[in-house]
Amino acid sequence: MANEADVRRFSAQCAQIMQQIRRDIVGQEDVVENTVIAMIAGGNVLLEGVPGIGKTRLVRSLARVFSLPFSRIQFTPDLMPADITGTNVLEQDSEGRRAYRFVPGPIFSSIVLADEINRATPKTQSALLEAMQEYAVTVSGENHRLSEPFFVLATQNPVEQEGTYALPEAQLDRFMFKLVMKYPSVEQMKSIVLMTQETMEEVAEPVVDAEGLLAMRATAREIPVMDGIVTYAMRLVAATQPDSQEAGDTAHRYIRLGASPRAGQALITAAKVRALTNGRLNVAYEDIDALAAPVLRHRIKLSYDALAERMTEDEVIAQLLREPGQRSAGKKR
Amino acid sequence: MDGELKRALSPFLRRLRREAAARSGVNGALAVLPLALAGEIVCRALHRPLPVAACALGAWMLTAALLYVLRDRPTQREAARRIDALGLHEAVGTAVEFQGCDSGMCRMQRAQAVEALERTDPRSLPVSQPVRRGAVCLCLLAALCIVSALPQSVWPDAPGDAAQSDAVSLLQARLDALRQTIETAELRAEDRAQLLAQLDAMQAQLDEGQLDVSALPELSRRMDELAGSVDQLTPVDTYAEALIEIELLRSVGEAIAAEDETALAQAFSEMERRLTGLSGTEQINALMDVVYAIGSSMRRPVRDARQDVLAHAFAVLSGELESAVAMVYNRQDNTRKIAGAFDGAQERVHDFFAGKDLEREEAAQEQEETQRRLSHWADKPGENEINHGEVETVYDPPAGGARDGYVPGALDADGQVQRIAAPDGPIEGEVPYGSVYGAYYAAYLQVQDQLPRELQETAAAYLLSLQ
Repeated sequence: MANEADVRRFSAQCAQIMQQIRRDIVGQEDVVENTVIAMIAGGNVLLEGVPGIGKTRLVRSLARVFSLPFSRIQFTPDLMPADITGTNVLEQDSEGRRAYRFVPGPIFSSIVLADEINRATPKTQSALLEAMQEYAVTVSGENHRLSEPFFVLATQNPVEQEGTYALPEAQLDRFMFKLVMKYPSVEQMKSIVLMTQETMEEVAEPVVDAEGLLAMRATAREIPVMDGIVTYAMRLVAATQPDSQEAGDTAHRYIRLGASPRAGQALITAAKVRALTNGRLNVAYEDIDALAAPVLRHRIKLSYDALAERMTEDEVIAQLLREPGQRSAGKKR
Repeated sequence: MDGELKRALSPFLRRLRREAAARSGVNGALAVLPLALAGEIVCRALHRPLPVAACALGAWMLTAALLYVLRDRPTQREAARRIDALGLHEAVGTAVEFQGCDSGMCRMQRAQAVEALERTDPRSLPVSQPVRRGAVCLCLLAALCIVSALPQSVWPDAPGDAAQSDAVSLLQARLDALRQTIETAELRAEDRAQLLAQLDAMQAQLDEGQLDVSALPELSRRMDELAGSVDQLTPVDTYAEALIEIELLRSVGEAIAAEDETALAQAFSEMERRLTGLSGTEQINALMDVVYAIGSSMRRPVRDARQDVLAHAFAVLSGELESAVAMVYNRQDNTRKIAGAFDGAQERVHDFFAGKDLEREEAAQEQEETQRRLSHWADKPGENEINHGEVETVYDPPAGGARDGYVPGALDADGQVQRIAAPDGPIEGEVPYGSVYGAYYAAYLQVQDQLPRELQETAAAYLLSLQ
């Protein structure tokens, strides 16, 4: 059961984590904050951004701050599942006896950077499914557990769409957040250049280890959430489903496929962490509003009307948040 | 609820409760006032005034209380929601919802919520005042007050009240005529005042405007009685006129008015024959009818003071007829008594016609006889002792300076009440019973109806014994 010391420690550690990451990453405050939230909450993150924007550097910096083993998997079209999970290797000892030995793949780490995940084949992509969901991989019928904490931070390039394989919905649903990294501003680019002129290596100092991270997660899990806020979050998720009673004009017109209940779980879990990182001991409606886009943007499929009107997922989600029906149950503005 | 949280919430709750009370009050008034206004208009139009304002006030209070308790009273959650809207990020709402949770995190969250509440000024909590609705309420209230204050005469008569309105108008006209009659009639001041007081009471009843249709005949009957009283109290010129007004004595009165002794004899004879032809209870009732009729005639004031001789004659007749009644009770034959009574009355009337003041002659003769006896007794003590049982010390106005024809309380020729100044000492004289009996009896007849029954019998027995 969390006590005051745990809460104070959490706040201090959060502040230090942010401070250290800013030593390696310039700008991208929302992305950094949400990535940290996802890590504390135990979720996986899908980072989308053009090349050279700092996606890999962010992941490496996080690994340093959290003192977690880090591995990187560069997804290519010829990447095989065994390249991710590991394989059994036939070995012969000095006496000539032969036996299979499991050689773990790069997935056996705490932080896995799945770079350009959409370049691998669906078969290879699905190798991550079991690991992300069950924290285990099965190789030749044998189940191998992954250690906790375990995070997958996948990246994808929105530009090169040729020769890529879109992530299936089942896998997308297992990412807590999809975060979009945008181009830095001129001032930010200037800071980046000056910083990297000194060293290209990450300089963030460790703040918390695996055990500390798990403790932070446990503390955040105890944050109370009002019934009205839970209802609000669930109504928001239901509003993305065109066949739902909660669906309004936005869903009927712009959404082909809505979010699953896992989105509601992600919203509440992440909202608790966000509240605690902001010094609050309760979840607020603004937490749900702030996390709606990261949680939902990769979970909804837009309709042809939305595509024809060049609507983005974020614009549709913003419209959902403004719908009057959203405000009636649990929240009144 | 946690004590600290409750204490921190209370100033906000008070503010919200005041807002809710105002809203309940206004909504309650909006629910009640239109009905009250409609009810007041309907009641006024139907001329059925009811305590609509008092009922509306009670209904408003009850409605407002019910609305407050059942709908408007702010709950903790509602209050927390509104307080959180001040930028508290749902801290208060979470604290209220988890007030029963005893975990460390819940306790810390409640403490954080209390801290946030203490940093927030309760006056910053926006409360809405039902201004527009309040204005509507005030307009309705003003309309209700105006309708209530309108005089009843503004409202047209209800369909069923037209006939009543006509009847009331007729009664008012009669009242006005009766007032005119009383004010111009020749009445004593006290009689006039008494009659006008009765008239004013009836007028007040009409002015209230709340008479039922069933009360109008009773008022009309009272007016008839009042008119009869005016007639009764208006003096007549002669005693014969008073007799003529009474049906039983009309023929007698007409004969006297015509100074026709033959007709009078016939009238008396007819009465005598009718009375002697009855027996038992029938005779008693018939005799008493004549007695009461004579008494009623004697109550009518007579302008001519000399007419009291006639009144006295009929007073004697009445007394003798009463004696005849007593004879019936004693199972005695009263035929001769009745005949003698009417003969005596005939004779007295004859004397009146002849201009004799029979009473004063008899009184003078009696006094002369008494003086003679007293002188004789003074000269010869012990002889012819006066039987003092035959005389009485009486109030003797002539001894006090009363003029001839003086009758205490009667109207003189000028229409003024006869009275004399109070003397320094008692005005006493000794008068034989025979001289005063008639006056005694006449006075008794005038007031016998006002006496209790048992006193009537006592007085009648006393006068009978004197006779």
